[in-house]
Amino acid sequence: MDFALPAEVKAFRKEFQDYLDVILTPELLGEIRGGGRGRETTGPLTKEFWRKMGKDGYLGMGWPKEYGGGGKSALYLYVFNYEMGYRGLPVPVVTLNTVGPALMRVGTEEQKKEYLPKILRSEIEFAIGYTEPEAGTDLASLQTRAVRDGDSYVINGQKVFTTGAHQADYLWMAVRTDPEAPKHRGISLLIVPLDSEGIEVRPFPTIGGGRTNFTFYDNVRVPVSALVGEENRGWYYMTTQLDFERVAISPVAEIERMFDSLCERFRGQGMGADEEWTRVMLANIAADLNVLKVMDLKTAAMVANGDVPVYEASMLKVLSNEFRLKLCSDAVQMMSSTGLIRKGFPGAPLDSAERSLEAQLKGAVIGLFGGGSNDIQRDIMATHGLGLPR
Amino acid sequence: MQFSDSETQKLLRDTTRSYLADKYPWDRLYALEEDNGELTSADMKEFAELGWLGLLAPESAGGGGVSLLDAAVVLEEFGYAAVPAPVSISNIAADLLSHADPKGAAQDHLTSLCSGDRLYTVSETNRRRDRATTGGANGAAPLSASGGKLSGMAPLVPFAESAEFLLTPLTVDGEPAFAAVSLAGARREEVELIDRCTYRNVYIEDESLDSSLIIALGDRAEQLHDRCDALNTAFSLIELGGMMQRTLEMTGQYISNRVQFGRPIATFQAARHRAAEMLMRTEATRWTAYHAIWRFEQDETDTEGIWLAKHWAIRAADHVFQNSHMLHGGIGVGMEYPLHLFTQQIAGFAVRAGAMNEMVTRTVDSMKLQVTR
Repeated sequence: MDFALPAEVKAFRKEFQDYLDVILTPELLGEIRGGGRGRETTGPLTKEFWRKMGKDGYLGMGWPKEYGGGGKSALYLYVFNYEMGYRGLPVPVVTLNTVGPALMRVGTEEQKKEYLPKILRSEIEFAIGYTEPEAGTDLASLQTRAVRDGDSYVINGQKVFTTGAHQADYLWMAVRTDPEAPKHRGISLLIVPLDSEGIEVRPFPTIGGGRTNFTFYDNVRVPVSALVGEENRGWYYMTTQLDFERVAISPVAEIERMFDSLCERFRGQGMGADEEWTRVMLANIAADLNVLKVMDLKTAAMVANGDVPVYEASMLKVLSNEFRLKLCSDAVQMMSSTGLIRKGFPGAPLDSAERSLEAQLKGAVIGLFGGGSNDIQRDIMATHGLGLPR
Repeated sequence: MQFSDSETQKLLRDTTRSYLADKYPWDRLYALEEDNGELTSADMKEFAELGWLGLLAPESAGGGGVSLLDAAVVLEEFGYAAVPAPVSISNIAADLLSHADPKGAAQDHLTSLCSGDRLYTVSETNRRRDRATTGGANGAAPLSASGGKLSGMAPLVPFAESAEFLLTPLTVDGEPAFAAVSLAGARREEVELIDRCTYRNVYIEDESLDSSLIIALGDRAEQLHDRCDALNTAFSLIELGGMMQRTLEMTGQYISNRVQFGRPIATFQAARHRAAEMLMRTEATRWTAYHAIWRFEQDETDTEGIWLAKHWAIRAADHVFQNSHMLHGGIGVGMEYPLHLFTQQIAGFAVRAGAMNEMVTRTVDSMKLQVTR
């Protein structure tokens, strides 16, 4: 056992902190924190911020050098995500950590040449098109069809929770290409330009203030070169990528930031911190947060050492998202009605964070199912972590 | 960065696991339980020969000179095997004796400890509680010496029946001290606890201090007291992690084989999810414990991780205790089935060496909030 971050990773942390201190302007932070009801689109300053980080080599540190990345270990990615998350800064996580690595593994040379440099420079953004009205947790039941027609695929169907589709350039889309095959074996992945004719994007506002979308596909035509990897192997690619996605979307730093903001409030005002219940809850939260930090580090260390976290990633996902919701709920109780005041109104708590407490409480429920429902994660743990029969 | 055993740790773990599995089958553990007895001197001699009693003692005294993390691997295996042995406390004693000033004074004690000639135990001091309550439920005064004579009481001392020395904080002529107190003239009052270890309330009346060793006085004694508390909590946490791991494995095996409604109950989602919850809590307990010990080993004033890990483990252990019995059903509460060997210890170790009340105080204190208590 060795729990020390390597010296060079520690040095990188300091370097990256200094870098952020310099490039984060009040205008950029104002744009990121939005006007109180959550932001719906990535603002121009944020896009410029990403492009600068891409140009300065920070976006692709974990990517192999052959694809223009820094070839650094996952521990650098862990530090990067942590620093960004703690400061409440957005990361183009789907594009950078889901689409990019999948293209490296199974994309054609043409696709790699076309998309990877642009992803690294933050010139293009992807949205994920998996979930459908009748295919949520049972994702492999998806029905959106792609039919081969000469040198094209013709897509018809509907997706839901297509987050980012209203502003992204491409959709990383799961479609059924063989309706006769067993459901897991008839799925393919396509890269679909979102300005293609026949795509309609309708907003799906959520209670946390964020926006996702319904998307509709009516005879959308893409060239066969849009196929990622082999036809009908999409389910394999999707599930492989989800393990990495769960690491990349770890919310632990954001949770720690929220806890620190909460403690800061008690230090500043002393409100309620001498009450027994509050003391107990704060101690519970601190202990739970310690678990998250250690398990987050463990998952990053596994990836850095070349292991693929399967049930471990599920564990981190469940622990962190359920804890975040509980933390929000407990924090509101600690502050009583004050905790419910919306951002921008007098007395709103934790205003220094990106979102107000009430918005975080509502937004936290998304973590219970986003990236694969927590009950499915528990099944993964039972099967892969304990070897239980299905 | 490596969240897995080093080669040395693998060797230590494998050796300990196979030895304990061989020497302490269920029948032996049941027998120990029925007699409510301690291990024999032959057991202790073998532990000494294997180097387990003095893992943390310097090699010059016949000890292992290993790191806290390496020692923790061996201790976890005692939890995994449900063997209620004084190996953990012997190593805490070794560590504390190694900090004696001057070092030479403790050399004989360390040599005796490593060879297994004498057993050393450690008091659980509940440092953050009112001192008056640490004298035990009957309100007896804590240990103190005056004019070269020692009197007082130490409550619930583990393995005190056969221990010859007790490592404990006390006061000497009003000054804080930390000492290896001779139990030669002590009265030992038997007290049974849930966790299958043996305990005694230890009473000392007007015994000469000459046969005891004052390890430190003043500020250094306070520091050793803190170190003693931290190691007590950390090592009991490690053993607890081993017990939880074994309980988890037993539960997984049981529900995979137990058939009801025509299929293994592990195929029912309700059972799978309970098991998954046990897995999360067990892994988190083990890794936060090891991580906390690593932090402490880097900096002995950094005890925060230990309190946080114990705070988590108290709730996690309760969950594993309840759900292992829930999933085992009636078979799990039978005395002829080994689950109770673990779950009784889990219930005990969750409380020993730092109960929730103490952990809340320590945790909130470490956060430096504006607390008016």
